[in-house]
Amino acid sequence: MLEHPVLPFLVAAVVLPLVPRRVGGAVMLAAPVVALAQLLTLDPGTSASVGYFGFELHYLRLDDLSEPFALVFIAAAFLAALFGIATMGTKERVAATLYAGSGIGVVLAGDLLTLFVMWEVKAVVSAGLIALAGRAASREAAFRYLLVHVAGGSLLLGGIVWHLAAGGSLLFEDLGGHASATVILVAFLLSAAVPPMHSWLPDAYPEASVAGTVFLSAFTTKAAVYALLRGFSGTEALVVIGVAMALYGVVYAVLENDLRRLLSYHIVSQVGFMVAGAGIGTAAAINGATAHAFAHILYKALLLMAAGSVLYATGRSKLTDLGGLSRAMPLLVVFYLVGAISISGVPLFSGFISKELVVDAARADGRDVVLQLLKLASVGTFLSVGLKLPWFAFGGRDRGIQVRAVPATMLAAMGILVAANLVLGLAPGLLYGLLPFPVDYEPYTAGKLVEIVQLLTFTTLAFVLLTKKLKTEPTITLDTDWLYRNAPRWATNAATAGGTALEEGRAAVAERVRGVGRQPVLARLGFSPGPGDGAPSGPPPVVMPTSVLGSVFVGAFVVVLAVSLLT
Amino acid sequence: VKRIWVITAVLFPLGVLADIARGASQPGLTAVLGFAGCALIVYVSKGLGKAALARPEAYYAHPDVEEGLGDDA
Repeated sequence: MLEHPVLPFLVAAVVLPLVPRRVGGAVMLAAPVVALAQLLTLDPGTSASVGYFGFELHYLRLDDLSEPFALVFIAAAFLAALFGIATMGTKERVAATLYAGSGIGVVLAGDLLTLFVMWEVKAVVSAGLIALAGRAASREAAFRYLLVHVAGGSLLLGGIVWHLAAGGSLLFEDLGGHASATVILVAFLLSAAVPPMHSWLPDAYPEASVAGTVFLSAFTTKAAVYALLRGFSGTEALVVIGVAMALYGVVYAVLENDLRRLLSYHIVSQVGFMVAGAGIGTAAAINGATAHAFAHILYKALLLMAAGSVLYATGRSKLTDLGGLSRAMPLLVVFYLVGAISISGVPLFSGFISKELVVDAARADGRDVVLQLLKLASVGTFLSVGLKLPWFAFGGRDRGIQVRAVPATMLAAMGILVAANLVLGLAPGLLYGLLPFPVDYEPYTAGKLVEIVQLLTFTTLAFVLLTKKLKTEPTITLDTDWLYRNAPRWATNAATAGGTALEEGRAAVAERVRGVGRQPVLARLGFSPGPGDGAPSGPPPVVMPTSVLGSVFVGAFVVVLAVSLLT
Repeated sequence: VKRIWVITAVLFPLGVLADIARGASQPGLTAVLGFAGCALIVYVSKGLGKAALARPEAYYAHPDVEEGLGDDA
């Protein structure tokens, strides 16, 4: 048990509230360092298990697939902590530490029960991490996030129970085949932010604190990608889903005005590449998805750190409020651009050597349509993250926006990530050596360089011609969260309308029977005054519709459970 | 704007030549994908935004829950 790399995170979470804030920062940084040391001393192929109520729990499994994920999760935990120590309060630190630990726990879980427990801890503490940003909007988004993930977790548990009831093994291996696997697959897809079950991500991530968003971007979706690679690689539907997802995120990013929300939509888009890789399922595609998850965590963390630093320094995060920042914060612009160049797949940076693995796997598998659509998604990525965002945030007329200094620890975290993205791009062998299968791919050939340079050049030309059209507007964009964000209001309106009718009916009856005025009777009977007495006071009964929504989720879980026991 | 069109017009044949040189199966496809793809994404996204998806920022703010509008970032 003591060798488990999650342990240092648990210890740190317990210690953090007990020590002064300054020491807490060191504790938060020490946890991933200790975890890394533990991981490196474990032999590849380690599988530790313990008996638990007749189940054999494989709580720790380190193999070729879990190792790269665990490594990059630990790196992300360290760098996000370094970025966050200047701004995070103690509670937020505890939530972030537990979140990173449970994310690592998910990828090291060898059986489905351990997976489920880690999965749920991760969901709950990440909701806490969002809420701890402290604004009302954060708390509301965290609550919606929690509802969605509780639904996903219920599906996962229901699917696992069904899987076991149908005689499946508790071991987390390839799950395809039985109908119960579909339920588990849906739970994984929800957590991978696959549309239409994705809107929790762009809804909640931008509402977390500056450092909280960096933590969030690393773990949940990539743990789900790991779960898909482990349990469902080669599932044909994932190819279609992944490609659709890659384009979906791109479309929304074009419309988005908020820096961190725009980048959140590009998490959806980039995870689409990984899901497609899992669907193709060849050794090259699994390598590609793993490598892209690895690189994505590094450059997306850098992008969100830079965007978060802009928010920290200026108090603004909307493109329409920004502009001309390149003179005031040149270093941040450079940091951001390195992340943007990496995600766009420019040669010499990390995204190029990882994304092209997935694209090449599609080519090698003879999937021409998939290949072209993934390239189209690459065009859209470069358009939004590489061109639109810096153009409108950093370029243009200097608006004289007041800028406060960004703490050195934040800059240090970004500096390390810049180096990491460059090193991976220059020495792809470092990453390729970590992948589950031997890599037979050379990214730097003349043909590939000619292709990518053309793609990016002509995208840039079209962008320059269309900058007017792309000008951002101070709007938000409806997404599938429209449904559950409005559901309580609809329910409230329905309930209020019903309640009013009921009260009026009662009043009419009372009036006829007693022959007295309406209000005194109502007051004597303990009814509240009707709507005729001016505007209703106090908040609407949101509790009721929310619990209705919760009951629907729980009900769905019970149905799944019942179906699983009957079959 | 005119200059950009000229640059595009000059670079496109160069791209096609480079594609032929590297033995690509469909010369010029990448350049078209970059240019037309970018335009397509912009027009489709903005069109969808205008037609259905874009809303004022206060769209989700609940009129009765004032603190829901809080934005002290």
